[in-house]
Amino acid sequence: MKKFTPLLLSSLFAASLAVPAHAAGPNDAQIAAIVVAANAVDIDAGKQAETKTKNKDVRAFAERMVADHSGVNQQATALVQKLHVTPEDNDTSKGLTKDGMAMRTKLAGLSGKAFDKAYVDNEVTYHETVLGALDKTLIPNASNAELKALLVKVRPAFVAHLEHAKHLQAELK
Amino acid sequence: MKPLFAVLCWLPALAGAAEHHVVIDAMKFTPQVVQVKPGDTIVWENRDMFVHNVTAAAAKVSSGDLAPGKTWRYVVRAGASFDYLCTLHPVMKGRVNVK
Repeated sequence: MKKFTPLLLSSLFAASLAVPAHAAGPNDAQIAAIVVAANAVDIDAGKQAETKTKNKDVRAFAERMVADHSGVNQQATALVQKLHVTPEDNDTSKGLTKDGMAMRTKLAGLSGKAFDKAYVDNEVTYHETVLGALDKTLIPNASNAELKALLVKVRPAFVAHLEHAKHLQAELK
Repeated sequence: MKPLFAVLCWLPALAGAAEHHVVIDAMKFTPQVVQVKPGDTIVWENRDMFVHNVTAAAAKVSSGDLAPGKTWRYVVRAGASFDYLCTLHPVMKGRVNVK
């Protein structure tokens, strides 16, 4: 049986959010779709963790991810409606959704400490990857000032989530 | 007469009591450390887009969950200084220094 490797999933996320140097950056409609997809991936992962983990700290973290990322998506959805922008699915948003499903399938086969560790390892990678995408792709390419401001406003949450996940990762070692 | 006397006794303390404001935004408490005296009031204002709380279990300080836009007022008691955090986001920490 093939051993589960968090690194494989890490590379999936990294590949989903990577934009080739020669490619044009995403437009606002595509950025909106990427933001919604990225948050949805972590909401679904958190909901899965809520049902599988027995660790109270991992559960609290998962509940927080569901709550906070749902909050971001509510704000993002409200903003695109206000701006009359229709989120435009693109290779990055589709890749995120696909990789998120792949991750949940892998995690579904794990239980106990193995699940907790794999979930938290992926949360570290996910938040690092999204932060990189925010800084290098999403914020620089957002042309609407309100969309850019929302991305800047949510960035500290991803930093705090990353620190929280790293703390849990150290606890689970 | 007794109520009047009680009010008069409290006036000097009330006159010296200060109000301190701590803003909760961008996953931080600002200022992170507040210097206060017993009787002062601290007002935490959640300007972030997420729910937060102000909790110092040992000092029995607990705001409960503060939705975005909510504030919480706390009158400082005499006693030791304390560290606090948001239990929902444990990386958010602050301190109240009681002089």
